[in-house]
This record gives sequence, structure tokens and C-alpha cells, in this order.
Amino acid sequence: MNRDLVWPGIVAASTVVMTVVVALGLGPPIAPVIAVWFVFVCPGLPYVRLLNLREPLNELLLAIALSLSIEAVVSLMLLWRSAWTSGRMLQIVVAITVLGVLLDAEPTIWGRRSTTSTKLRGIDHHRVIDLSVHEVTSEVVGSIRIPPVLQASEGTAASADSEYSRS
Amino acid sequence: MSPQSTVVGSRPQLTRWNRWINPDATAIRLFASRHALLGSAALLWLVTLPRIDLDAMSGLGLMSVLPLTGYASLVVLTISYFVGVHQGRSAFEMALHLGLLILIFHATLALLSGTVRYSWAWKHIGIVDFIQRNGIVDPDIRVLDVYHNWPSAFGMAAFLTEIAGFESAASFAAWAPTLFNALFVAALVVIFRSLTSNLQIVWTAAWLFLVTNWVGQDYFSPQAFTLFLYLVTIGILLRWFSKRPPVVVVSWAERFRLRVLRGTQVLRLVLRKGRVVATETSMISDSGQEIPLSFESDGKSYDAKRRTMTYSVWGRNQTRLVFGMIAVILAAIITSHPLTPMMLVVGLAGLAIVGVGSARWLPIVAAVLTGVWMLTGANAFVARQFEATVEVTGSVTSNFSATFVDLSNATVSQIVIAWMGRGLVAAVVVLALLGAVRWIRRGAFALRPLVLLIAPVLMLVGGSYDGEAVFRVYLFALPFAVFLGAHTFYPEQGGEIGTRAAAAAIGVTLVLMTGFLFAYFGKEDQYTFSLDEVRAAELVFAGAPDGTLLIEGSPNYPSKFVFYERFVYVPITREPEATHTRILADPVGVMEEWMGNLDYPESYLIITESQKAETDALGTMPAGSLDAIEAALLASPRFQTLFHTENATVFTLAGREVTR
Repeated sequence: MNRDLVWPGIVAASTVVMTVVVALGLGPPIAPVIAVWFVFVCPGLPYVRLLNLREPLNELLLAIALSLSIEAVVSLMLLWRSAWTSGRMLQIVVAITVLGVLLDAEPTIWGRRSTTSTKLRGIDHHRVIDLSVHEVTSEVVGSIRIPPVLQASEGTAASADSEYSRS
Repeated sequence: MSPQSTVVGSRPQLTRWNRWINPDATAIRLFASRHALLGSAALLWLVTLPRIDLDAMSGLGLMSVLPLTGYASLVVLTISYFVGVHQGRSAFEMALHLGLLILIFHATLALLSGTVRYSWAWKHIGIVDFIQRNGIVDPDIRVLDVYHNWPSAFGMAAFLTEIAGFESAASFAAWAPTLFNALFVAALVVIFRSLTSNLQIVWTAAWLFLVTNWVGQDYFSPQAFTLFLYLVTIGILLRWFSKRPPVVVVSWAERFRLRVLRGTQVLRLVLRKGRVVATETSMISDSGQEIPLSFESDGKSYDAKRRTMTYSVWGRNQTRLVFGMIAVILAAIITSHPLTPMMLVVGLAGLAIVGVGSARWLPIVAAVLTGVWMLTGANAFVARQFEATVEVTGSVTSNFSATFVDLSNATVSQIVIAWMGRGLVAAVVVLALLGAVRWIRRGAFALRPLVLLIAPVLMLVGGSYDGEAVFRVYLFALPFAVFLGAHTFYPEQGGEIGTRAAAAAIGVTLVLMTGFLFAYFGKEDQYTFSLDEVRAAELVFAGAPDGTLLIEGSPNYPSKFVFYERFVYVPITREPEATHTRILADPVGVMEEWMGNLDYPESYLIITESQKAETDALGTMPAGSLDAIEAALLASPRFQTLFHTENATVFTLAGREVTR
């Protein structure tokens, strides 16, 4: 399985399991475990992954905050309309989650370029330069040895893009 | 020679499995030596748990029944933690320590009592129950109206309760302090790492937060929920919208490699004019070979293993996306709690002033959204409270003094506990000042933590918030106070630190922890409820008709958690002193008069141990008053007991019909 699809797959599977658990009316001990995972992580994680943070703790923390906030705002809207039920709320939260999963998985499924989520990610601004062709040597600047390639890293957008594509 | 072969050296080659099961194997010895103190602390806590008798608690709360092994566990854990801080151990190891401290502090009571502590948590469960039953909120409701005007967090909790298959949020609310403290600390680590590259300061500040956060705003409540969101919002801005270069990030893969190589991790900082402009991590292997691991400077990172360099510049769309997320989080905060948005606006304004680049318009957006909500969704509450709020606005002195409990009638133990809390506040202020001075004397200082520390104080101008203003100011200022305080022990720029710093940190932390144990757990005989009390309350609340009269010894018991809107509440302790005198002179006569009032379809009187403990400790009535009332009614044929144990009694008037 493509590594980029692991988390979208986990979130999608969690959403399906949560829906089935609610549909079957299951209670403790199974339902609470799945519900906590779903409520705390699933709605927000796909959107946080679009940021491409590469910092697992920060991603998880932001996913929890965003998930709980999404649910709080959805519940507010339903309460405002005097239409709050857990079933209706689950439908909306699942819809938000599925949209996020689709955006998160989109570049892997449909190709990287010119897709909505690629634009959202600002992926054009991530530049990964393959140094395997360079010899990494060091020089002393102050108290630290800096790989000299850093000084030569400011490429043009076009060259960076082509290097990104290669990687 | 490859790094791996350097490490294994002359030792016999072991398979991966043998390395773990062979007693001579390095992995076990290494693990045992590094984790002996942590393991001992955990063991001591586990030994302590069954020896705590909550029923035997006296006026000093949990402190009065905590065995010596409990204190030993905390001392050993503190020593282990600061040894880890001093040695620069991995984030995982430090997180294990923090996790164990959170469990000791906050899971102990949840495990032992089996009930939700703190009466306000039960009232919040009641709002969740209201939403579950009705699918609406009622902003004009008579009791607990503030929650119906800021209902988002309760709606979210009701959703969790229902899809988890629980009947009531009481099934999980006991674990809220454990969860919230874990979330607070995780968010704080992100914030602290954005403010400094020195991980010793990060970990020290995280520990200091846990041992000084005594104000108890971590229970099942919207304020705990919004505090977490507040910290995450501040963390996002500091981490990704600050002009300062990012701090070093060592990936999990690198950490694993470090463990395998068993060398010493080195973190170097490049300083220009006292400012960190780049960081480099490398490792000194057993043979003295230095292996570069990563390099990061101004968003560029270098990975030696993959031989790649990555740097990211957030594009416009990515920035829009993250601000969209912040907008959702702001909306959740603003519609969940009336006070946190004020703190957020002031904090964001402070950050904008000191130049957290892209955040300049955020305080305006937050202020406008807050205003819009107060004039629309919360207008029922705001209109009722407007006059009172205007009266106290600007009265900093009165808002400050309104916070403090009147200790003139309190017991000696309560006075000790109150002063422990105040002493802890003073200690944190002194520590923050010392840290700030040391930071400045070393030739550098950052405005951002100072601004976020001072911003909450402005809240005192806004009102006393039912006597909670100073506590809220303390809570919101605390993360940045302890961050400054950590500079007392460790310099911002890192470098060689003597063992004296770790020893000083251990000593100071243990003193602060003593204060915390008194201030946070000192009222546990009032805040922890027995199963009897819960059962008595369930009997009263379940299924009563609208307009039922409920006379309470005091509001301090598991109350209002189900069908709460159906009752008219009369807490005896809240009555005027003249009424107290009348009740104590003739308890049977007065209660018969009140409960015989046929304007109410049914009437009950509930008296519990926690009510008695609170009333006696705070001196709101003469000591033993509730015992005297209970004894008089038990002896009277005019009253029947619907429920009676040594911990709780529910009375009804003889001859008056009740529905259960």
C-alpha cells in the first residue's frame, strides 16, 4: 500500500467502524474505545495532514484540537436550529471527515499535479533537494559545522520543482 | 566502519531477541539503569493505591490518608525526571515521566473513588444530559443559564456520550483531569519548543506547570476544554507564524537510530548576536566517532541518512488553510466559554504587538467574533448580566479581593490550605522574576513569553467573575511564568550545566509540589464523593416532576446531573444568618413548614457527608449544624427517609406523596 494512503485509509476505516458501531447500538467496552478515537482524532487529522507539517506530535495535537472544535461548532449549529440529535451530528461529522480523507488521498489516487489538495498543501513550496550527488563536507562557522550545500540551496522555483519531481 | 559495527565493537554478536532476554545483554542493563528510578516510582505508586482509604480523609484531604510510599513515589519520580533533563534524555523518556506524574496526581482519585470529583463537574454533566434529552438549549432557563448561552462544548460532550453508548457523561467525566492535563502538557511542550531551543528549559517548565497548577480548572468543564484550545492556538502562532527560525526537530527514526547506536546525542546551536540561527544534532558513538544526524536553519533541514535537504516555505493556500483551522478553533472557544475568548483576544493582541508576523489581524477577528456571539447567541445572558458587569468593570482592587475565600470562620486546616495556594502563587511569581532576571543578565530576552504572561492580568479590569478572576489570571499566566521560571535553572543558550542546576531544580520542585499537594488535594474530603452520595442524589433527581422542591444542606454534592431543570433548589447554607438561627433552633418545625408547601408537587431534603465537610470547613454555619439538623429530622416522626446511610440521607415529609 502506498504510504501516503495509510492515514487516509485508517481514518476512513475508523469512520466506517464508528458508523457501524452506532448503527448496531453497541455500548461499552467496544463503543467507547472507538468513539474516543473517532471523536478526538478523525475529523481533524485529514485536514492537518494537508499542511504537511512533518512533526508527528504537533500534527496529533492540532488534529485533536481541530476535531473537537469541528464537533463543537457542528453541535452549536444543530443546537441553534433546535435540531440536535447524535445521529444527525454523526452524519455531518462523517461527511466532514470523508471530505478531508478525499482531499488527503487525492494526490496519491489521481496524481500529484493540478489537484485541489496539492494546491491546498502549498506543495509547490516544499523543496526537497537530493544531495546524493553532492559530497557533504563541512566548514566551521562560529561554533558549528554547516554542510556547505546549505549556502547553495536557494534554487529557483523551477529548478526546485524539477528536483522535487525527481525525488 | 559503519556506525552499527562501531557500537557492537568487541561484544559478542547477539540476535535481536537474545539482546532482550539475555541478562547480560546490553539492552536490558541499559534499560534497567536508565529506567530504574522511573520504574521504582511507578512501583511505589502502585503499592500506594490500595493503601489509600478515602473514607478516612480529614480536614487536610488526600494528604491526611496518603501513605509514605505515595510521597516517596513523587520524590523518586522528580529525581528521575531531573536526572533525565540533565542528561538530555529522549522526548519519549521525558514524556513517560510526565505521564506518570499526571497519573499519580489525577488518576489516583478516579481509580479509587469510582465517582466524579467536584460538584461543578456534576452540574456540567447535567447540561450534557439536558442536551441529550431535549436536543436544544434554553438560554432563558432559571438555573445554570450561563451554560445554555455558551453550549458548544456541552454539545460536543453529548455527542461523545451518545456514540460511545453511555447513558450519562458521568461514565467518563472522572477521567477528565487526567486527559486535560495530558493535553495541556502536550500543547505546552509545543509552545515552549517554539520559544526556546534548549530542551532542558522545555522539560523543566512542563514539570513546573504540573506541580503549580493547583487552581483545579482541569475537571469536566468548558473552561478546561477551551484552555486546551487556547494553548493550541498560541502554539500554532508561535510555532509557524513567528519570525524566529524553527527549533530542531529530531524525527522518531533518528531517535531510534540513537538508541541503537547508544551514543551521546549532541545538540549544537549557532548563535549570532545572542540569537539562535541554526541547530545541528549529531551523535558521538562509543568509539568517539561523530555522526551528523540533522541540521536545521531557517526552515531548512538536512538529513544525513537520506542525504536530502528539505525546506518549506508556506504558500498562500497553506497559510489560508491553517488560518481556516484557527477560525474553527476560535469559533469553538468563543461559543463554549465566556471568559477564555477575552484571554485569547488579549493574548493575540500582545503577540501581534511583539511581531508574530501573520497574526496581526487575528485579535481583531477574535474580538469581532466574540462580540457577535455575545450579541446574538448569548444575548439573553449578557443582557441580564450587563448591569452587574458594568458596575465592577475597572474595579481592579475589588475584583482581586472578591476572589479570596473568607477565612474568618474557616477551620485551621482550611486556613493552612488557603495559604498554601496563595504561597504557591507567590513562589511562581518569584521564580518567574528570578528566571527573567537571569535571562536578561545572560544578555538576551524574548518579549513573547513576557507578553503572554502579563496579558491575562488585564482580565482583572473586566470583573470578578464570581470571585474567580485571580484564579483565571493565574491559570492563563502560569504557562509563561513557569517558562520564565525554568530559566532560573538552565540558561537559554544551553552549554555545560553543572549538577547543581539539576539539584536546585529538584529541591525547588519538591517544595512547590508540597504546596500543590495541600492546595489541590487539601479539600478532597469535600470534593470526592462516596457512592452513597451518588446513589442518594440519583434517587432524588431521577423522575421527579417539574417544580419539585429540593432542600440541600449545601450545593456541594453530586447535584443537578440529570433532569436538573425540574427542581427549585434551596441550599440551607446560602440562606441568611437569621434563617440559619431559626433552623437550628427548630429544625423539624422549619423543615416541615418548607417541605409542606403545596406550591411544590413534591419536596425532598438531602444531607450528605461532603456537604457537612464543606460547611464545617468554611464555617458557613456553626460546626456540626448539618449533623444537628439531620439528627433532629431522623428522630422526628414527621419525616421519613427515602435513603439513609452514614454518608447520605434523603428526607421526605411523612404523609406527602412522592413518585418513587
